[in-house]
Amino acid sequence: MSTELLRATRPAGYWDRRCEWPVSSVPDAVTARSRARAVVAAGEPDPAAVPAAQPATRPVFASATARVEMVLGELIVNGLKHGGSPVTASLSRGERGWMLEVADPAVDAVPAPAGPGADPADPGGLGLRLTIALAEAVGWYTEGERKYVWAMVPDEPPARLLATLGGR
Amino acid sequence: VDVDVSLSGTADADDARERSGPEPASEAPGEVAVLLEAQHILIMLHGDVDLRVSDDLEQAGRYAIDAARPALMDVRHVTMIDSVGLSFVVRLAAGLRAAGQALTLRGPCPRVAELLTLVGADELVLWTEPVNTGELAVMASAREAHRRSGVQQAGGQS
Repeated sequence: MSTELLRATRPAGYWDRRCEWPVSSVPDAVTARSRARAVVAAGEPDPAAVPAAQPATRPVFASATARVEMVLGELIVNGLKHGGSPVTASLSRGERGWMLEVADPAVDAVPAPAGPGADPADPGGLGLRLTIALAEAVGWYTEGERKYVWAMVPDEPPARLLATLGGR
Repeated sequence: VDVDVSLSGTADADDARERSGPEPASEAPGEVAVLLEAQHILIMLHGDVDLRVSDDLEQAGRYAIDAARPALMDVRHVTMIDSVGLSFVVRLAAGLRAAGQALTLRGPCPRVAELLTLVGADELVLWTEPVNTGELAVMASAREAHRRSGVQQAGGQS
């Protein structure tokens, strides 16, 4: 499990592309985020019917739906802000989770999250930092004239995420 | 005297959200409202607090810092918050602390609490939950004032 951004790395494994959204504006980004949430939620248990075995205090971000929605939104906004319009967002399904990928035209603009010791009051890099906290692996690579930033969001929440949230 | 300085979204979106519960299917932007009260400044966040309300957040933040009094931020009705919204909360907390004031979040809102933990900022804020009817009445009247302004902004829609 990585807590850093993987440079020049493609996601490993086979991913079945389920959805793809062209995004050229903030409203487009919201639409893509909402659609992705709906797709992932359709495959998750109804949150209103939590099994008795699960603690009542299960974190919000234990849910893959919440993690996918958040991470995709952050990747798209980063793409629009630093990579320029239009970006393409996609959602793919693997054996044990979701692959989120956002492509933008800025092949020379390298994503840089705020470091773990960074001042949380500094807004720069906060989105990517959240992405790394919520995903199992995050990376980027270039292909032709496009840069791809991806995040693997597993169905089961990463152990370090639960450990951080459990310590609250 | 209550002064409502910052509004976004519409009363319609607000009503729809109340009808459909805490996870709306709506893609309407969230809302930001600020009220200056004698003892503190009250900031109310509703719905999806994201990039779309960043101007409202900036304005609310400046107003809260200038007010030079403790700030109370109601986050109970936040359905989604992105890094822009989260950054606003963190920067306001840090700014108030630098000015000798504190930011108290009125919850519960596990979503906001978890994200603050993930960015290492949970030490910057205090949490409270409504405990008496007096506080609830203040919140209700503030919300009603906000709603009326929203209706006017939306051109008299009901």
